[in-house]
Amino acid sequence: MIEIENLTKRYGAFTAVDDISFTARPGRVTGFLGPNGAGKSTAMRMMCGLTPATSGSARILGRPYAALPNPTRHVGVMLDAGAQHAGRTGREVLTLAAILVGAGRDRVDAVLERVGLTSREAERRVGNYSLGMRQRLGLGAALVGDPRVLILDEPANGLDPGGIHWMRGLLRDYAGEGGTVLLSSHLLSEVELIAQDLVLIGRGRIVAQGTKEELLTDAGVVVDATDRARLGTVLDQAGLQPVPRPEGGFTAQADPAQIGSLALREQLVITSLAPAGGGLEQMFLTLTADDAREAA
Amino acid sequence: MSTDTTHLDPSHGAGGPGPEGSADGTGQGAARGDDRASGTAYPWDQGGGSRADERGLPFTRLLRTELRKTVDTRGGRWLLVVIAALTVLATGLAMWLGRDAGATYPTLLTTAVLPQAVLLPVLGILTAASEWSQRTALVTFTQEPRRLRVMAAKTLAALGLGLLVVALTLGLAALAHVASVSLAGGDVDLSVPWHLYVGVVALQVVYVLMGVAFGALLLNVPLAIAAFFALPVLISLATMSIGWLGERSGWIDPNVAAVPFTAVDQAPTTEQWQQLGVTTVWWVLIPLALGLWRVARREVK
Repeated sequence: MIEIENLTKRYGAFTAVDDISFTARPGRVTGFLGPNGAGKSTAMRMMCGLTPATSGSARILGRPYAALPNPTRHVGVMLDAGAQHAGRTGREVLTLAAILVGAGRDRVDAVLERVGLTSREAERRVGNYSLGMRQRLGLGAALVGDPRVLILDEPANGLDPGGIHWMRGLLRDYAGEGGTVLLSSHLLSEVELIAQDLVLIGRGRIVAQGTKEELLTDAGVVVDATDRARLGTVLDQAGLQPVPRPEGGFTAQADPAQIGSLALREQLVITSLAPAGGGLEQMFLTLTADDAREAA
Repeated sequence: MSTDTTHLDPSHGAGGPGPEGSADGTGQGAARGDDRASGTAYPWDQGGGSRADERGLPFTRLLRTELRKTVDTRGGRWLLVVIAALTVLATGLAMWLGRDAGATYPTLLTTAVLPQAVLLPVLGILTAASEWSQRTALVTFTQEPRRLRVMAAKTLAALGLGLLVVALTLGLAALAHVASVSLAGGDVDLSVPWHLYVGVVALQVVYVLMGVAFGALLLNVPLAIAAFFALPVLISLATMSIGWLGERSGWIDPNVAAVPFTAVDQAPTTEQWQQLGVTTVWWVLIPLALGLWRVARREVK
């Protein structure tokens, strides 16, 4: 359980994180989504006591991070997969983490296997690792203490599609055992695959949060029919606010069952009916486009 | 591995093995899921073993990891290799210079520790500052958020390694003396005035701590090394060129204050001890205090 309340960080006149509140629940994978520079990493550093908060609080398992006794036993953290000494081997990085939690060599082997690093790869220096391998190693280091909470900053960055699929499986299993996972990403597609709950952040503020289903449903459905004109009229009469899409059909504020029964009553032949995932995407694109660097 | 039991998390329950025993690495599965999912049953809220959890990270483990970090990278290992090589070289040089009569043990001793006075502080600097250059501070200070505890472990690790090196050097100097007099045909004499041992050890401790202090103050390895070697030289230049300072150089210049402590014939006077103490305040304690304050407050990125 991670509870964030009114967390704020100001650097002089610049507000990096602006009064954010959300809860990452046990048994769920929570995605922390926002464009680069939105304040995700600053917020995560504040959660882990590395950056002092200007105001507000972050509690993990009911306590501020710094008040956790031997934190790596309870919280697995990976804030930057690149933050490893290039001269250490992967196995050495995990061994150092294992000494701190009081675990033995077999725990290191078990973690290596769990994150899919072979023993040959583990003997290589981290400086020779690809970004994807560093992500696996960083995740392994977070898992060494068998924690109940995982805080991961951009863990899927640098993974190939297979790697992302693997990470989804690992994190879903971990959450399925009752663990809490908070992961950040600047890619909607990535987070959509892995996370169950979403927190959208832009320019330091939370712009939307909820379960993935809620956020997707809010966007309504995309529907098309053989008689497109009449579909539009019918949707409008039913108060479902149809908006024509450039590629054909309409976006309507309804769930698929409503459209189905409407079509049955009105004798319409529906040719496509799908959740308009684009709502989230649209929100995310707006966030991104607002950013001057992206607009330039 | 370690014999303490603080890793026994009560949430694992009686039936579940600890992390060491979990060979598949997947944790203890659904059995634990209930108390995890409730979101309120934290280890420290429960009875029994929670005190062990509350005690937090044992300092011995912290010290062990910090010691290990000083030697598990190529940079750290090379530094120790260079220290060893230069010590052997200096000892060899002293043996060669005393080849006719046999080099005395005190001479060998004071020569062999010379390279260490230069390089052991670098060990201190690396220990205190390299994690900020390598960005591993991000990992270290999430593992132990009480940053001064980490710094205490780092300081002890550097001191421990430094003293180990000094002890090995004493042994090397003794061996070199025996070898030297056997070749020259003299008598083995391993007696050394006690003040020389005290002086050598005190100086090395001060040098290592000064390295840690500069590392902690600047949190940047190249900058700290440059400052460590340049500032005392600048002070020496200042004391040589400014009369008022020159008269008080023993109280200001760490190099001047150190000289009596490697003298074989004469034990340092009380005033010389006081001078070492005062220069240590300027060059070790003040930078160390400022450095620790900086480490405790700095945002780790």
